[in-house]
Amino acid sequence: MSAIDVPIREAPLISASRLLAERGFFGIVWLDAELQVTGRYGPLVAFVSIGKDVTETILPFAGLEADLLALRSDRHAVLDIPSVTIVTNGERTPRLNLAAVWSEAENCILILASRAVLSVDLEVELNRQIRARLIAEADVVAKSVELQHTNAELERANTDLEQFASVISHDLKAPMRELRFLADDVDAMLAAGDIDRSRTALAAMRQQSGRMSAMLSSLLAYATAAQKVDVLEDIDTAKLVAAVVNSLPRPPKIRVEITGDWPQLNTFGALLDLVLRNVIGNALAHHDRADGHVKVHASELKESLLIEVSDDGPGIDPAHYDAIFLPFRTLGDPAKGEPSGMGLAIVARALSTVGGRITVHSDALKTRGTTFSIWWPKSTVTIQKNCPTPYNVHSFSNDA
Amino acid sequence: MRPSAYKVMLLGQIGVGKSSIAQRLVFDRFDTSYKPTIGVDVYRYEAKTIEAEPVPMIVWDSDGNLGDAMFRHVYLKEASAALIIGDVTRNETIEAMPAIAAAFRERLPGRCVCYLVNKSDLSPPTPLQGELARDDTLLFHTSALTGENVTRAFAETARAIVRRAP
Repeated sequence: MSAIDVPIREAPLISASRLLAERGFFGIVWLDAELQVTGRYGPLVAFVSIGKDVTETILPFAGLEADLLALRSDRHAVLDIPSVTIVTNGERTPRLNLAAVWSEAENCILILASRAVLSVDLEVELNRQIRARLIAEADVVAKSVELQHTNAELERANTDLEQFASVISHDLKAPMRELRFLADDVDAMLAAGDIDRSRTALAAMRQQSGRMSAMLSSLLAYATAAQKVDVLEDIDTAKLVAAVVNSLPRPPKIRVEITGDWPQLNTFGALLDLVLRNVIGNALAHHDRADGHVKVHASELKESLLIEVSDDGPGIDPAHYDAIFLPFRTLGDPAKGEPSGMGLAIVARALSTVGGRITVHSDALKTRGTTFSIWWPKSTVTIQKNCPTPYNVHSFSNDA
Repeated sequence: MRPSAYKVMLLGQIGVGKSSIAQRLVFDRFDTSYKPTIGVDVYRYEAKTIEAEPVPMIVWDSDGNLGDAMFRHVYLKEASAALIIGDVTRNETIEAMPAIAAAFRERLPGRCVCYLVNKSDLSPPTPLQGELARDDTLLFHTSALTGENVTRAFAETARAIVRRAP
């Protein structure tokens, strides 16, 4: 006797069989000697009509009457019809395995109906579960990437906020303080009846007020630089750089030369304009001689457009490399009408938005001239890929 | 002993329209979504012939995946006829029909066979090529979509079955 053939008392066996049949694991149909249905048990065989010929109610047995009757003489035989769906009156049964056997105890033919489970069912179910899992995993990855982007944005916003706080508290404070002192002076001068000096002080106040206004405009340009990435356009970069150069004020003897390969790009035109305008404008504005030469050269790399802006101006002390890309940091004097120091900060911010970078090569202690190298991504795909954090996009070197 | 109903097999490769033919025949409808048959679907149908009483049929719509295994299967037992179906838009399914007929006749000699060249709504009538053109087996161009020749094919099959019945 094998392990599974442990004798079970009849009552629990019947009870278990009844439970399984009632739960729809199988159904039983009883046939008499004329192959008429005399009874059925279980919801799985609810479609079977009692009192009818089996071939009329369990259609797959139609034509197999002789085989059914032969079960009486071959009492160990089983007539199997696997995986059938019976469609009657528009209703479909579940897919069933049908098996007819002779019951010695009841002296009749029994038909056992059970739910058909084919390997293909398992495969379909497995595929369904794998697909559901893959979808769920992809969803998690997408959400994770989204979260990373959100965190990066948040970090960037925080950095912006800190930088703005710093700018407001330090850089804007100076002209504000100056205004207050000048107002005190005017007050004292008017009290003393010194009209001429008070007029001079008022003129200085207007100058400081103008400076503050210029600083606020620059600050606005800086703050909105990152918002210019909405529109992708087909840009003829050759035409764009020529237009930028032509629009910039410059001393008549400073020559601007545009060389190299300037391709057609589908890119953020407003930002590229902003970057070129500020870098070239920076080279022109800081030139210290009446005649000079600024060269704007482009070369196509695999994933980016390399734009080099070189001048023969005074150069930059390597000690100031960090400072020139920060807001309101300038080597000139804004109070004397020189640039406010926001140009390169705006460039760095714009490049951080598109995933580009900028380096500076200059050493004022040894020689004249500065070269800014800008790597502008050629495709938006590159932009996405190369945009991990906002402020690591510009690197500073004097040996590039 | 005359059976209470005649068992008719629908045979043919996957996707030729066996289930659509059965649906059109029994329920006079066409389902545009394709759902492959697994195992067999069994339907009751009464074919109307001109000269005889309605002929009860049990139509076995088979799973095209079974391929040659069908001819070794209990499903075919005591079948009275086979309607062998091909898709006119897929020549390989048409070319396979004579081989299916031969296998059926080998398993059940003397039984009725009828060819249905299905999906006639998708292709203009064209002369048959190859082995099928030389075969004198009953053949109908059918469309499960429009119902063209579907009931007629079963009626003619029913006539042939009754004629051969003992």
